[in-house]
Parts: sequence; structure tokens; C-alpha cells
Amino acid sequence: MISAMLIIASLFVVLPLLLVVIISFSSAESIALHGYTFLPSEFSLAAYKNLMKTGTQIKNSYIITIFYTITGTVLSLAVMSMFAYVLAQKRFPARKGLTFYAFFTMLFSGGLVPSYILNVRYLHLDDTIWIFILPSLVSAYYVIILRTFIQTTIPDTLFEAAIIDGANDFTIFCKIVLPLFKAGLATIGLFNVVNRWNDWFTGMLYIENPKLIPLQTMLQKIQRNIEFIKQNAEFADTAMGLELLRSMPTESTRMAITIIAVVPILFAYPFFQRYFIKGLTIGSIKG
Amino acid sequence: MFLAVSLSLLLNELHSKKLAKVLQTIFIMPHFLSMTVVSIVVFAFLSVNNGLLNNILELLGYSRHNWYMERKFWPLFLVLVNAWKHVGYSAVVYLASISSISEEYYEAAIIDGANKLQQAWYITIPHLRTMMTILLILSVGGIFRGDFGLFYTVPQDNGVLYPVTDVIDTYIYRSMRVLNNVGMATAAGLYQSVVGFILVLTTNKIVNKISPEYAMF
Repeated sequence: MISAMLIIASLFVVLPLLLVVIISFSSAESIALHGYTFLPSEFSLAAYKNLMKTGTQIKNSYIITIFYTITGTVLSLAVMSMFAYVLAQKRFPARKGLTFYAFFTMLFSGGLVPSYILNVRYLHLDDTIWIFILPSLVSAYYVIILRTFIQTTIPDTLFEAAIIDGANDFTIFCKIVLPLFKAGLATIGLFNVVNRWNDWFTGMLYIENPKLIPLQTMLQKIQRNIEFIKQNAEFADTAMGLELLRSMPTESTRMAITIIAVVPILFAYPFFQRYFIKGLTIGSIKG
Repeated sequence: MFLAVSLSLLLNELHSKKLAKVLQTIFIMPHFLSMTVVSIVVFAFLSVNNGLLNNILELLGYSRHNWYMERKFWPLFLVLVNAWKHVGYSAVVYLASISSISEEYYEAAIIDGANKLQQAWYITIPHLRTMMTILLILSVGGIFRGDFGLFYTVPQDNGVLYPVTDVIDTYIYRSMRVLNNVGMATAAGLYQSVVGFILVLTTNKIVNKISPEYAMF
């Protein structure tokens, strides 16, 4: 009875996604005739073939996105776990102050405009790959989760013993903390990968150079442009409008791009799932 | 929140471990999709010419609607989309804390003759209270911080819909990039941060008064 209810509920989650998958495999004629349906009259691989043929921009975006997702996550985990290690040390006098310093950024921020001005005018990060990596390097929330994780899973006596044996902080961090820390790192790593992969906003705000446009931003741009042309019928009738419409990917191709943008992240999840629930519980312990 | 808690209660009652795992994965899936992707999923339903919703309406003998031009439906659409995306994730978070509740409570309750519903009401939900309070405090701070992605991409940044879909974040973005009014945008952003900050502090204080152990700081 309960499982039946849950299976029905899960259908509500899956069906919308399935619809997109099916559209991506529908032929253009079928869409023109029946619109988007779960049962297209004709299946075709045309959309994906089209992508393989014409998708230099897509390949480019794919590579960019993969590159900054991986680099960003690795750097971010390295910096945040070291920060968390320091905050977890009872013998470190500025611990309370630094924790509050980090925590405060969670409660209060200048907002979009000051960070935009800082990134563009003073740090000159716009139109570089670094905009995807540096500003999002440290998240206070994750640092606090990681710190709590260290505090709850690794007893202080372990650190004390190591210090007596003559280990310095760096050795302790590498030899003791990191091996005991996998579930925490995996959870935060997953969050990091997902956030970076799905971030379309940074690309939209800071990137002009087409070689650096990430996948999600590109998807967003395609969708926006098509809607803009369609909603401005007068513009669509002009020669320029028609030309633009023709150069746009067909509807099934758009859905196909969506699918290839989603698949990597969905495959990443089961990989992390083992650690995920454990990591979540730890994160829920109050700071 | 109500939906998420009940979903996690139901998931907890599943006996088959395998089914529970598969269902959890399914429910959490939308959380990992970007808003861009979500907006395209929504578009597949609401598109004027091809959308599934319009197709169904036509089959039933109603006329097609241009959903992206009609204001009154959007609050409902946005709530639905948001629930679709996040309920599964919150349910898994709650489920994680349910699994940390000691079995002994339930055994004692069964001996006392409590049924499943009573167990959920008197044991599980009280245990979830800390979790719910923390999430509540954090979300109160975010009241003025609408989900930018949700409000920007899903209605396709459509001028007709601004009266029902424009939140402070989209307004700030528009002031800055489109209208080029940097001063106004900064002011709006600061205002939003200050009010959010005060709200978090106030909620925390109220929670502190009622039951100190649930407060965050």
C-alpha cells in the first residue's frame, strides 16, 4: 500500500524528465504534427546526429564545463578541508573568532552588485576561466559542515598523541585527518560538483567570449533566443529573424542538448550515494 | 515542508531496502538538475504550440492557452516547480535524521500498543523538530532572497509576467544589466541583506525563548 503510493509519487518526478528524453528522440515531423507527447508517431536519432555534426560550440562548452568543475572542486576541497581542520583544533586560539568570521558571511552579504564590481573592476576575473573557480572556492556553510565532521568523528586525543610523537599540523592533516574524512569529503565534493556543473548564472553574468561559455549558460541562451523571436512575431517575419530561426537548433535538438547536459550529473550521484546520507546527517548537527 | 516530512515518513516505512534506495534516488534526482534544465522541462509542458498541457486540453475540447502570457497561473506553477525540485531532497535529509532515532522508542511504543500513525506523531515528528527548526531559521532569512534561477529562467524572463514573477533578485539583476542603474541595484541588494539578517536574528531569538536547545546560536 505504502510502496504503491510512493511509486505513484515517483512517477510524478520521473515523467516530466521522460517527456524531455522522448522529445529528444522524436522526429521533427512527429513534433510538427502532434506536438510534444509521450507517444510520438516516429522515433529518430536525427537530433543526436545533428549534435555530433554541428556541435563545435557544444563540444567547447562541454570541455570548459568539465575542466572547471573538476579543477574547481579539487581546489575547493583542498582549501576548505584545511580551513576546517584549523577551525577544529582546540589549541588554536583564534578559533572562535575565525569561525564567526566564516559564519557571518552566511548570514549577511553585500549582494550581487558589490561582488560583480569587485570581480570585474578590481580582480579582473571577467571573461577568464578563473571566474568559475576562484569566487566560489570557499563556502562558509561547507567549511562549517566539514569542521563539525572533524570534531565529531576524530577524537582530540588522537591529535594529542600525534603531537607527542612529533608530528606537525601538516603531517597530522595528511596522515590522520584525510583518511578518516572520506565521507565528509565525498558529500561536500558531490555538492561542489553539482553546483559548479549546474551554474549557468556566472557564465551569463561574466562571460562574453564564446570559447568560454559553459554548457548550462549556452542552453539558457538558446532557449531565451528562441522564445524571444517567437514572442516577437514582427521580428520573426523580417529577414534577419527568419535567418536566426533557421540557424537555431530544432526542438528535438534542444532537448537532446538538455539530455547530454543532465546525464553526467545523474551518473555522478549513485557514485557518491554511499557517503551522501551519512554526510548529510553530520551536516545537520548544529554548528 | 509538510510534503517533505510525510514523504520521508512513508519512505521510512518501506520494508524492502532495495525499493527504498531506488525511490530515494528518483526523488532526489530533480535536486541535481540546473534551473535551466528545469525551465526546459517546464517548457515542454507549457509551450504554446507543442506543449503537453495544451495537447491534453485540446483533446478534452478546451482551447489552447498561451501560458507564458497569462499571469494568474504563474504563482501556482512556480510553487509546483519548486516543490517538484526540492521535496525529494528535504525528504532525504529528514530521513537521515529519522534513521538516527533509537529503535528502542518504537519497541516501547509497540508494547504500549501504539499504531504506526501514533508512532509517527509521538516519536518521529518530535525527534525531527531540531532539524525542522534549523531549516526554518535558514529559510526565513531567505524569504527576501527568492531563488533567482526559478524566477528568472522558468518564466523565461518574460515582461508580461513580471507583476507575478519579479522578485528582488531578478529586479536587482535587471537594474544592473538591462537598465544600467547600478546605484538602485546596490541599494536594493543591501536592503535585502539587512532585512534578511534581521529576520534570521529575530527568528533565532524567538526560538531561543521558546525552547533554547533548538536555537542555532
